[in-house]
Amino acid sequence: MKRTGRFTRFGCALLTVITAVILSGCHDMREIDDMAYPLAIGLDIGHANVLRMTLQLAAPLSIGGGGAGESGGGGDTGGGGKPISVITIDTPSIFSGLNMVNNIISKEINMSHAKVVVISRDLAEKGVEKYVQAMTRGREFRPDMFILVSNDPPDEYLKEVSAILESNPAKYYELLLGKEFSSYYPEARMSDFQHALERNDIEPVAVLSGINAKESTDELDEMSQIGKQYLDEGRYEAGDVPMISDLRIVAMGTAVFKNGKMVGTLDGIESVCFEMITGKYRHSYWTIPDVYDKDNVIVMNVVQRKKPKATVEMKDGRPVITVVLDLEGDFTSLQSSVEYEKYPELVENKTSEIIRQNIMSFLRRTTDEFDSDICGFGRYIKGRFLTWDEWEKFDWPSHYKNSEFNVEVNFKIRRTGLIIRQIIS
Amino acid sequence: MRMEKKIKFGRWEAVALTSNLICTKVFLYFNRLTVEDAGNAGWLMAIFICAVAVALYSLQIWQYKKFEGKDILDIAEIAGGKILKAITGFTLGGLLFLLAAITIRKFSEDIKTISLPTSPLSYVMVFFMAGIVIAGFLGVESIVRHSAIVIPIVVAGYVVILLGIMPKIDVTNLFPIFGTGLKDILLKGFYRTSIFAELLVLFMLPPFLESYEDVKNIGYVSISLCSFFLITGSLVYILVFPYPSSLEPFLPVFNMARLIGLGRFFQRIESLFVFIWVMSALIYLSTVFFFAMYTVSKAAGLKYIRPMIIPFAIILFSTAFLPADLISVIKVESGFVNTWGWAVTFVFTGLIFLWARIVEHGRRKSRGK
Repeated sequence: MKRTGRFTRFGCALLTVITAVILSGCHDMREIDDMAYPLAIGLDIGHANVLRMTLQLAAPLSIGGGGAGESGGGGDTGGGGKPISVITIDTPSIFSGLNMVNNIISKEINMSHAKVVVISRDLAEKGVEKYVQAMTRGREFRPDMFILVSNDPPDEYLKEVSAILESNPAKYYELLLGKEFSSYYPEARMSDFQHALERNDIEPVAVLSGINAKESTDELDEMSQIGKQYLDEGRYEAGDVPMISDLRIVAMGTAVFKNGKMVGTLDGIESVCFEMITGKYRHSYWTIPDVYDKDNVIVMNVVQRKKPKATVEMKDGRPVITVVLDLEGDFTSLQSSVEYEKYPELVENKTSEIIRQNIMSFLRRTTDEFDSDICGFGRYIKGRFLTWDEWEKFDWPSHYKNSEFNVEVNFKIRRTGLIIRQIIS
Repeated sequence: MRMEKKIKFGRWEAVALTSNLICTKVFLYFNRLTVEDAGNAGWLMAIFICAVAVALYSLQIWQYKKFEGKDILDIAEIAGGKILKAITGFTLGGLLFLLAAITIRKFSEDIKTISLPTSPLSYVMVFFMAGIVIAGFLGVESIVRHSAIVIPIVVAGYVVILLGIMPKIDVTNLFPIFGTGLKDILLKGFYRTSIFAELLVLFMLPPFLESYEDVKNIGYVSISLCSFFLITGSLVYILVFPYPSSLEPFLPVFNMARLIGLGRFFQRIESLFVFIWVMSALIYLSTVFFFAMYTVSKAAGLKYIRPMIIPFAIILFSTAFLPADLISVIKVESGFVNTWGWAVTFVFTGLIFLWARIVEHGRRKSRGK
């Protein structure tokens, strides 16, 4: 008995020592400081090799200092240098590129903090499926990375990213691309993109982004329409927004894909329609012309009250797609002297009609121009089939271009802001 | 340590132990397996598997009624003497040993894939081996009591993952409702009842339990709990990953956990998955390893288990390295254990019960004469 107790004590002591020795530095021990963390990865068609890959690396010392606002005062920007460093390399594949980059930089590349994949328009049009698959298989790539298509080469694009309002570029990407208060581009994540690539009831989309090259108001003056006529703010795409800013990156619009290749783009307002149809629209300001006075506008904060209802039926071999949207809005600005607060029906009807027309025009583009079911209407007709074989034989993608749309928009004005009537002298 | 005849444990401990043995597969592969077999109707197949398991268990437990307090080896001895007892012991022990070897290899490979990519496989496996060897020395009571404490934590972690992934679900993923077809759901579903193969441990527990009613209730409660987790696991997975993308993930629950992002603060919930998964795996391996030794030693008429622990562990360690790669392990698991496991757990043991009943009936009759 005594012997057993001694053995137990000896065994426990030995186990403690072995565990302490083994676990203090296992094979996979990696110091955070020994790693280099790319925040964004850019993919383009290469010239010296098939793929041009750009990595935007975080410089932790510069980021760690924090901006004045974030650190609670102090105003020191930490290391004082740029928070990012950009490396571009021509490579046969993504992982070979990471290998090559590891020959240049002292730290080991770790992709687990990458927030964005920026794909050049040229590469997107050529096809991105193989690169998306590679990133899906890679352990370090996150499925919630944002996916962007840039009108400009990613190596230039990523150099232009400057997170002025945040010291941390990762936060900049998260706030810019994952925000709820702008709907002029979709929330496009890697996992959704990859799933849509593999399905036959929906096609993928990506955020359309670009560099705003305008540097002075003279360039704005040169643009047509200036000051003469009201032009909806959503009628722009990334790169052509009339804007002067230190922040040169603009996300505006949607890149539309079919069978893994980019087939077109949507502007801001069409992206809003896309968001509304897919039920991902949160809220944004809508500007419509005044009902009685063309020189004035009415601005409302429009919110999607309920998820949209979509049904798809086959009539005479053509899909008939019906969508019912429930929206509501608050008056934000009424420029004319008409008391719309008393008669909101006028604005409601006009807004419903404008939204309906925009959506119809957007949906027709998806059939006539892109032939790509980015809204995923195929998902609603799948329920009419019992087995996967039947569904595949039906071949939804071949039917989509013949679709007929019925869109019903129910819009109600709910609130009037902080004033209930406007006195205009 | 002598055979643990005097050790008794309660219903909850036994339920936790048997439920973990079956539900560990949810973390490993079960969700993907149902999709591989029945497409997006995998959840219907999961319901069918559980229904068949309940039916087969009901039949077994009805046959077992006459043998209160006896385990499967005692019953085999009644049916066919020491020879059948030995055959049964080595068959069931062999199956459990095979399960332990496959699972330790797979768990280690999985850990290597997701957490320790540069560590040698043997290094990863040594930690599991150490755990199961220590558990073997401490005995069944420690394993059972440990599982009673750990399983609620594992369940809580799993439920957090299921709730966290809710914003990602899409109901249209369930259609076409019958997936790859009713034939696949029913036919493949029947032999995937092998998922419940570890239920045979339940018929090794009676000496540690109080009564027949205990065994019966523990079985039903365990199957009900497992059914809940298997069905919800498969259903949520299909709702999150559309078919055919759902065929791709190597570790379904891990892949689901990677998608969870609750605001900018709660991200990378998969670290929770690794924690609950390893706890569950360690209990699974400890249990299966212990009962493999227990069955073999009892079949061989050995008085003590402890001297067998180290040799068994070395054999297990070596056996786990026999498959050349991870794909070979998955092939053995999917093509053999998960296809024919039902034959051992339900048919083989069922035949022993039946035979023992006939022998017992014959003896009673002859005594009556």
